[in-house]
Amino acid sequence: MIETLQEWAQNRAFTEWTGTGSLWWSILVTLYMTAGTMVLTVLLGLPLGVALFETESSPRPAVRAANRVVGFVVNVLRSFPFFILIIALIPLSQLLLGRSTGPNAAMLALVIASVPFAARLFELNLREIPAGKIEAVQMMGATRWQVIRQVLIPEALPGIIGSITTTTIAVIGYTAMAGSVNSGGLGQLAYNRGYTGYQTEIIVATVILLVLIVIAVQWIGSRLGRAVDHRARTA
Amino acid sequence: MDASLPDVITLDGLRKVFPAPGGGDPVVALDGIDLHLDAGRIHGIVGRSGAGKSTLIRCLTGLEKPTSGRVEIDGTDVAALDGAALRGARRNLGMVFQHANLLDSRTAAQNIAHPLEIAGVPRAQREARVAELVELVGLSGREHNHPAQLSGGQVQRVGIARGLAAEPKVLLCDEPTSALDGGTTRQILRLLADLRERLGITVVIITHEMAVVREVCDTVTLLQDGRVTQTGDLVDVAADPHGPLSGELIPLPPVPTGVVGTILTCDYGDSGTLRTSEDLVRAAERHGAQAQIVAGTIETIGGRQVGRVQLALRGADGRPAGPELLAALTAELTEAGVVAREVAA
Repeated sequence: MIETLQEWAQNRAFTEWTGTGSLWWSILVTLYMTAGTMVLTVLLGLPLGVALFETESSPRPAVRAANRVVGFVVNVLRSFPFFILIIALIPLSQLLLGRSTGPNAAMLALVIASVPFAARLFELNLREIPAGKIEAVQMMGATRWQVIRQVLIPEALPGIIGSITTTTIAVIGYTAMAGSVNSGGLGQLAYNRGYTGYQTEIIVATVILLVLIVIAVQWIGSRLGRAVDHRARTA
Repeated sequence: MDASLPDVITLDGLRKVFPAPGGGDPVVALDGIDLHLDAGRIHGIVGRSGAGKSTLIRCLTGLEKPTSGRVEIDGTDVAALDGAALRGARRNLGMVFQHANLLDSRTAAQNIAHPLEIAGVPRAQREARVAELVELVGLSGREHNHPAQLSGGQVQRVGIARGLAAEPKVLLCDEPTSALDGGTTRQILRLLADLRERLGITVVIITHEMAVVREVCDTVTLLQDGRVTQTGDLVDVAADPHGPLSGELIPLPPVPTGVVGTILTCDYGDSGTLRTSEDLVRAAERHGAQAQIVAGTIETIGGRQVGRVQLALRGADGRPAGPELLAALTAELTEAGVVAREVAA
């Protein structure tokens, strides 16, 4: 047992600090892809979620029609298996970024997959706000923008943080699949060295690390969510 | 109504028709409402659910456009406004809701300040006004709590303070006490009456609770099937035995079972000569009947005693009073201004 561990510790993935073969470097690449994807997902997904919520029962037929079209696109993107999506997007990343491999190319696919996912979750978070609270503020003479800024976002914030947490964890899972376009990161390391290269120690190490990262993300998300939640605790 | 007080709310032929969802007959929620509510008083608007109360509120606040008619608040026709003008007009109207509808993400003080924030009042002025309001509604010491940390009564106090924050002409209360227990209800109603005294604000209370109307309202309006079926000063409405509201404002307890006699309900609030229930008993005895009071409600509304009793009448033979006796007694009572009706056994 001890001998196996000592032998495992000699693996270059653990002793080297940089390069796609290094475990430590791969952790950074995975965290970079996840963080970058999530920043873009919140910046794009939150406005999209608010837009879906706000336009759903607009009195103007044109706005409602736009809502249906965008909703349809969101549904289509959400039903794409990520593995297929990332391959289908190779020409697009080639066009936009000049290359179809590496973490940035993978992030393009990650963002396109996670924005619709997060937007639907944000839309659900907004739906949970009682209509009376929104109307109360409208009756004070608030503009639509004031309602969004002062009611929708702050009242839904505990739920929105929960949705960001859930999306982040899903994105961590997707980054592993992004290894198939040579994105780098823990997923690619586990596949190339661990699975294809019969290095069990690398599979074990990446799985443990991914579990720890997910637990940490969930813990931070739950703490943040509770910190901003001033709703009554119902038994 | 006192003619010296100007109207602060005037509804003129207000109609609201909703198209039926399935393409059937349209739903007439408000069917031509004419109503004048004068300034500085507490007005009660009562009606069962489905009578049109909610639609009326939504038309008053401009959340719903009337199909036709005028909704004038402090001289401005809200129904004709849109966009920024409507948002400005809404500030003349403070709203208080059944469940307060406070934002959980804000403290009591931040909720109270919200209408001022929307109106663009500078922070220093906002804070001064909030401090004043916290004091006014009796919330000192709790202003930095979130709504979830407050009791139902305290939450509603925050709701009232928020409604008053932008110094509206009218405080419109939608079932303000329906979610509260009896003791808290009385405290909130006392607060509303007190605010009217101190600020001279017009209060409109929309409710299904007759007790609320009895306790604080100066006028009462009954809404039935989208129409006003009775409106006037509370004293007059309660004392009018012919109107639909007096029965609900002065409800009778049920007649005990096992009573022998013909039951006669008498409203004597309007009578100049028969002022008490004993007067009624004596009048019956003059006709040779034995009369027993089996149920009764006597209330003093606006300094005037309004009463309704049920008499069990028996003839000299101890059997339920016959039709001749009843006709003679009813005639005398009617003459004296009492409204008497036989209750079918």
